[in-house]
Amino acid sequence: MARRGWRTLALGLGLLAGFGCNSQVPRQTFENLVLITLDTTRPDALGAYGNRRVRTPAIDELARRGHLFEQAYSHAPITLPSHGSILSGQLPTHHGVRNNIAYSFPAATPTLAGRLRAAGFATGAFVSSFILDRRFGLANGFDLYEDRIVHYEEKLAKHEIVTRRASVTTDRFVDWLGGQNGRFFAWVHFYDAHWPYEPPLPFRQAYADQPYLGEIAAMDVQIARILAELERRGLREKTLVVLTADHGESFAEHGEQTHGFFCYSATTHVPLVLSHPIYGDAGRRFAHTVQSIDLVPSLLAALALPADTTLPGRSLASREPRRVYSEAMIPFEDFYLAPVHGVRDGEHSFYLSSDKELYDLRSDPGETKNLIAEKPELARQFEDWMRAQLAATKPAQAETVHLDEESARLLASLGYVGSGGSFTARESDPFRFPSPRGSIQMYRELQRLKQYEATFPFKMIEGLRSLLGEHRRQVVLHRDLGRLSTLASNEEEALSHLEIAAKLRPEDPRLHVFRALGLYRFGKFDQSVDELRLALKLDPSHASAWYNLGLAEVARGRIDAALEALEKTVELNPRDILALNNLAYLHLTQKNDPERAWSYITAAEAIHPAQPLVQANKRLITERRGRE
Amino acid sequence: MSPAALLLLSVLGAPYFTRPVDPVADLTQLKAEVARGVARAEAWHARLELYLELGELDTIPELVELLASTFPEHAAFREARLMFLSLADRHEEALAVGEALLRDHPEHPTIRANLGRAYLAAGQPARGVNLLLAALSQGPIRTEEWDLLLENLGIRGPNPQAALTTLEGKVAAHPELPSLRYVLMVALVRLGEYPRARGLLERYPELAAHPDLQVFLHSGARN
Repeated sequence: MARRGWRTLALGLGLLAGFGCNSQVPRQTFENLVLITLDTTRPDALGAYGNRRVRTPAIDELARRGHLFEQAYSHAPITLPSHGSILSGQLPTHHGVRNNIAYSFPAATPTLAGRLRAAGFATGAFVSSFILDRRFGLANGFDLYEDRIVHYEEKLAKHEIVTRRASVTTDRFVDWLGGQNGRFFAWVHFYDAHWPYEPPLPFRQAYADQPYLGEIAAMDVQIARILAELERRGLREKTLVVLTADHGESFAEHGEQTHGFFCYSATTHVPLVLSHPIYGDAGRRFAHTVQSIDLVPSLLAALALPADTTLPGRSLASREPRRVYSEAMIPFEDFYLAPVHGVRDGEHSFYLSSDKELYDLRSDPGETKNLIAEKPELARQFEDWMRAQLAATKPAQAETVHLDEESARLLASLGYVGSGGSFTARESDPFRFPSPRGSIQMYRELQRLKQYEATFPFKMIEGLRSLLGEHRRQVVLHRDLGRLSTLASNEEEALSHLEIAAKLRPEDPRLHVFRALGLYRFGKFDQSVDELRLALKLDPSHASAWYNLGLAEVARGRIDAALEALEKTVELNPRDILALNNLAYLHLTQKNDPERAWSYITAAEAIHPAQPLVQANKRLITERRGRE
Repeated sequence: MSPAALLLLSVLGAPYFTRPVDPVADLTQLKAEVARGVARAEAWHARLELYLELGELDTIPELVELLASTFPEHAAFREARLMFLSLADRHEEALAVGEALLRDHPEHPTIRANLGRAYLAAGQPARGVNLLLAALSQGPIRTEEWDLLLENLGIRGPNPQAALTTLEGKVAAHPELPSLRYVLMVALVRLGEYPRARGLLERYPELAAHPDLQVFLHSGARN
């Protein structure tokens, strides 16, 4: 009797804790999960977080009925690494995806989708940007990965960006939802808030003064559609809807526009809203610091699935102090500057690069007054913690991605100023590079100049010449000036800057490929081949180097060597349609082998049926086969 | 097409690798052509468009003056002069040029919008707003003109509901002006009154011709 009495008491206490306080265990579990990630969305751009200039009734209602976390942070200020963390519950240092474009999320790292599929859930992902194309690895675990974003030849021809609007992505989700009969997990990703800010009508007009907020308001309408569709199907109460962002957006904080170069609050503070009050009263707002990697363990619990104690995150409801890690690797990987590693708790933030910064978030949430000299002991504690974290980093599991030529151009259309190559500086001390803080104005100017590249490249050339006056050793400026001067047929300027770039960072194969392209353009085919061979010595799996080697060997009349290089390209990237197309053409015209040509051209066509070159060569090969 | 030609195509595809305009050289050239009587309005119009697209109108004051005086029958040059004068805060001259231009070319598609902006810049919002509304009746206006319109109608001001009421009064008084109804719909969206905005689009389908507006309209239908 006594024991039974104790059990009753314990249950009663547990119940009290669940309702009245801040239980770490959800007081309600769910059949289904819908995770909505809003790319590039600052919390203070939402009505629920206090913005009075924007209208976000759907998100506001979600927060009123559920929970809102005021201090949620992501681990990277760019899309792919941050989504990798949201979906796996692991830090970028663990899953190894440190940048967009150049990495693929490792298949061996368990994801929320994989866990839920194994538990019997139907899993569907609906993404809105090429940055999350399946080739970058996040499709793992999803039954359906809906990334059919554009007919990209058309977009390229018009210099349009490769994204789709929230309304289209929502259509796909709604179609899929109609076919679900059992438990499901859907990840819906909206990209609208990403630069360029061009909201659809009528939001473009209604928010003509603040188009970024217009994008947010337009996304909110689609969130309302998702919620209404769940309601219409009687799924609203059974489905936990979680809304968050991969990163924020900087509007000149610390000199940064958009995101990616730093990891201050402006770009790592994210919204986090739950549709149901699983940790307390409806509408409750939590002020303690939480992080993206807390989502997976929290969601597993909310779906009544077994916990994974190896995950580093905690329940979102846990007030146990956290040190939230973040990193900005773009300066390091794309600009030959030092990386930035950040850590924050509820009181301070600390940034480690080739210089150091410490901020008191209680008195200075905007991180404007660097206290590194005033609080050296505290800074040392953070630095020790950070260095220990970095020292414990496992070798990256993520695979590097070699983009084909057309994909690299697509990414450029999104405003990415990185080169999209595969090089990762293998530096024992990356902090020996200059701090990105000293280069932020250069980066901003480069972002501005990039807008002219497609239509008025001379403006970019003029700007690059001017920037080089102040940043003589910035490899990217030499590379881009060399590249554009190549296209402008200005041989002397092109080859001199491409040479300087390659000599400044001789270990980077990408720079040798750029130089080789310049040499090729001006008819120096032997030197071009030498440069490409040098690139391949540094990185034997550099698909772009193999592809261009194929072209250069054609120019030298060495058809067998060209075929070998192009076949190697296809081996590395079976979806490289230009390489497939060129193999087809060479087999037809140089090897007199229309059947072999046919096999390559049909492979290319299967990937992109409307590609004009492929269609032209297919007609050519068809005629030839018909004649024979 | 050979593989090598692929690279060449990308080289030839991109425009304007060298600066296509030069304020000093262009002025010299125009003066010479005028002196010889061989200046062609169409060619100079194309060059003026480049300056506008590059955002470099402020670099060619003399060129604009000369074009406007050489080709007085061409609205584009006088319109450029109107814009230049307004940008240079020479408001009285700008308004005089614009009003004369409007009298001479009442059907021109962009004069009302540019003259409306000039009036707003000159601190005369009533005429400015009316001209922007008239421009909207002719066709779409640019995003920055919507910004000016909503600001001057008070929709973004401290009392947007009062501004909305005023706008509704204008719509009631001028049912013959669909542009006013459209502005009201946009104002309702800014204020988050989506059901009312959609109601307008449903009642007046001609306002919802743009595909984006169809998306907006039907995004709410299931709610």
